[in-house]
Amino acid sequence: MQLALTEAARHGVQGIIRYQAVQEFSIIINNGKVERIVNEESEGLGIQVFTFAGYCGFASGDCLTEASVKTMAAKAAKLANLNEGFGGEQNKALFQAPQLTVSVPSPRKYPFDHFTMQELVPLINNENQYIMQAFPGLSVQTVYRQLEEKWRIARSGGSEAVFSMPRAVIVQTLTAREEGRSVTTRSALGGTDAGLLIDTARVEEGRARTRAMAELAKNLLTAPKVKSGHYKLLIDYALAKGLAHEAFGHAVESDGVRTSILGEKGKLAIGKTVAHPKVSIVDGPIPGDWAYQPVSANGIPRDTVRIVDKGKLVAGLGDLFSAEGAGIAISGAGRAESYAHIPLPRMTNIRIEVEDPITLEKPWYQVTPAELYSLLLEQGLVDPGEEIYYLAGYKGGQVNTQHGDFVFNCSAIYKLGAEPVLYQPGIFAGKTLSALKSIQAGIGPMLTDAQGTCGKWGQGVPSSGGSHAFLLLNSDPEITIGGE
Amino acid sequence: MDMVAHLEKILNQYQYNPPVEDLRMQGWRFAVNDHTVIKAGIRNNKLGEVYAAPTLNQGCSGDLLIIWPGDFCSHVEVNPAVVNDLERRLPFWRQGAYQDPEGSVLLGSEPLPLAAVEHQSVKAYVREDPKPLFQLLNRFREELPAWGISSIQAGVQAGWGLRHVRTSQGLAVSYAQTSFNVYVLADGLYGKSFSKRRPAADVEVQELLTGTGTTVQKLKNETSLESGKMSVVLSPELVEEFVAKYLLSNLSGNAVINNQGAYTLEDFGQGKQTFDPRVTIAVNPLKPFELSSYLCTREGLPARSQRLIHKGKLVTPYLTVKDSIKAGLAPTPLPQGSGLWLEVEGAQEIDEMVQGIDHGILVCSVLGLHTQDATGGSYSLSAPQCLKIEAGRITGRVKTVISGNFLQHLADSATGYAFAAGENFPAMRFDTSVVQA
Repeated sequence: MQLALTEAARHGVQGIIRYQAVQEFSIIINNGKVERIVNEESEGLGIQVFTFAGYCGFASGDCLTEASVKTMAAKAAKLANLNEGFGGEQNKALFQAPQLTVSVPSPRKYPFDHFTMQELVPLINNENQYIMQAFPGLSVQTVYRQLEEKWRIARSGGSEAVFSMPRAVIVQTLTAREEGRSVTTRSALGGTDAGLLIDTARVEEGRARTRAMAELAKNLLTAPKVKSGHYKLLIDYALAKGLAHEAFGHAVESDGVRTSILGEKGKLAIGKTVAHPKVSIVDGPIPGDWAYQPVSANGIPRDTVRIVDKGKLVAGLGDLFSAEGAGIAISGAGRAESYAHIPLPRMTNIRIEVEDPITLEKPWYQVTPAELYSLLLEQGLVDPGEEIYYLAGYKGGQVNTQHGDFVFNCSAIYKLGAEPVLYQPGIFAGKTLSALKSIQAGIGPMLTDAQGTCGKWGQGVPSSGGSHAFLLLNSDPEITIGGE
Repeated sequence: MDMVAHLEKILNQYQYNPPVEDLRMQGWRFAVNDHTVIKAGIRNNKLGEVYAAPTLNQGCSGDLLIIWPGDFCSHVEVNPAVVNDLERRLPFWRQGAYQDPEGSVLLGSEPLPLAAVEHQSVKAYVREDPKPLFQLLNRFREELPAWGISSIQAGVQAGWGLRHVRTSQGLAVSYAQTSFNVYVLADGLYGKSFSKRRPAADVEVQELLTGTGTTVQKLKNETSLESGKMSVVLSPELVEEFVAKYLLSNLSGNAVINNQGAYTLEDFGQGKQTFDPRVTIAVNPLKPFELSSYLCTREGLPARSQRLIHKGKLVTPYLTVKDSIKAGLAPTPLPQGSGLWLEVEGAQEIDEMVQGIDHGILVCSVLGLHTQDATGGSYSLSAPQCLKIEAGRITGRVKTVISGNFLQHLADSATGYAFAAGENFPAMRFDTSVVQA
């Protein structure tokens, strides 16, 4: 690290050096048989430099010999100078960055190598077999992935940050087939370590989720499509994570504020009413979470940010290089997929909080659509005979922050009533400024472990979040559910 | 250190003269890419902005399969850090190996085809002078405002590297390959890209600019639409994305064998008529300078053209050596990247197709394709950038939600296909449900 900084200085530039080491393995089991086990270890260095005029260049590599590091630093400096020659954009934020030394211990409970592979494979296979036996005829693929990223980030001037990001996930992919039709559903449970496989409560939760998805795959084979339209909706917390992430979170990241629907004259529209007064939105790292990152990829501790407070936009997600331009504070939001990527402002764990949530009497995954309907009737949140649809299971989303168009997809749609009717999944398409205003109520406890991968500008980083177990959304002409 | 030579040396040692008998290898195979990529971009109209700064990435990485006695396998990702310390790791990998008789079959040496996968100009951008990449981006900044475009996001990247494939059966292949990619997104409304193993010719850059500029102009004129079933035209770029989404996973041999796709092995065995007879789907890694082209697979199978669906009938899934043994079929070339080609008979010109539509939309982009379930073929998508077609003319932009079943569209004899200049894929026309959003 020091060699890279010294070499950068020798070439007349200042820099941020990122060292990343990754240890990872994945186990794939198809219908009771090991398909593949892959071991991976890697390390590399990214050198991001700035000329004193503020022009940036970047070089990275996985060969860390002295000669290679010197070459990398020289190439980064050359590119920064080339950038200056072509009239690139200046950014001098690095020179004003606070000087810090940060070291955060790993939040994992079980060490990376807590289990040998011989111990792990039967554990994963048990989960695969459990579902195969419960649902004969279903094809079951079980993937367990465990990794730990260790980061060391140094800046010219003496700042240094050391932290690690352990994570683990078990994903079950379930395919049902019947008379030439096929449907695939997925369940996922994420965390930081192998606790997913041995902590009884987590194992049971994972199994309950997978059973629900297996049942759904079978039932979806014959389910009709819903009629496209604008409806009153109930969504589960994983979809609420999608709503917070796609509809809102990306629009408050400092690098995109200049063109964001939530920007005004290049600055984030602080003070603007963006949601119902009962609604707040928070983003920040949670130890033990799939997307935990305590320090930014620029070496600045990550803050927990209350972005929306009682319906009003009060803050954004700012990184070192664009927070000031966006008119917001630096919150340590810079994240990178790897040492070979330039960090971007990103979310970690984003959640929607609603005041005075309605209490649930049992775990959310045990609540049936019919029980949800009864609860809504009891609470006066839906009128008898009123049309309302329940969207369950998050399958990913996408946003265009410039125009505020976003989508996310669900695993299933139920028309609620005394006897709920199952429909095929349909896209939830909305507009940023309408979607949050449509949130009317939260039901159940806060659940923040809905996990996924955010692919902003082609860089994949773990993301997570949630809300109360369920959110109720009023019908809005700018929210469309896709169907027939 | 030459990583590939060092890796070969250690593997040969552990196969023929291991220091510890327990670590004797039955065989091995690796495929490694030693690559350098240079890129630059424009974000928010600014060339070389901090998030799109000029970047050079160098790396040498790939996958290694070690086969231990008794057909036990270890799959490992290799890179300089791993190879430098390989011998310390071997006992751990040996301990964690799993038995996989079908996965233990290695290929030997076979004659390789000729395929153009390296372009000297791209190599020069990477190894000598990257300025032409910046000049290309500057051209976007200078020319796109002429179409009234005020917000430009763009990127260009060039890559050069050596690909090495080796097996303990005597297969030893090394060859150079290049990659070139450029994209532009204008006003957050519409963009186009160019990806091949050669640079874009001037006429292709001009098509990229003109196609983007004229489409954005049309998209700025908003109009309305009455929801209902109507003619929908998917642009060639979208057809490519739909084919990758819905066919790549369903034609995977591994998915077929494990009952995780839309088709079964019996379907292939019977040559089941799945799509309209005009439709052929192929893997073709021999097309000159296509990004999906290569000389041999990572397992060492020589590249060749292979139809997976011919005149609408299932021929074979694409199969690794392991999956081919399980399926009782021959291994095939594998799609790289999207890598599937849609060939259709009787395609029109795209202008002719649009002129023939009385009431419909031309879909320019969709949101949410990656969230769809490929196995069933159905889709429900937001299409915020569509052009309304009335009496054969484009009349303005509409935002819609579209839904249907892509596999059924390919099966439908009423589906139309049309080619557009400079596009690898045809546009597709079919009737489906459209709702104004």
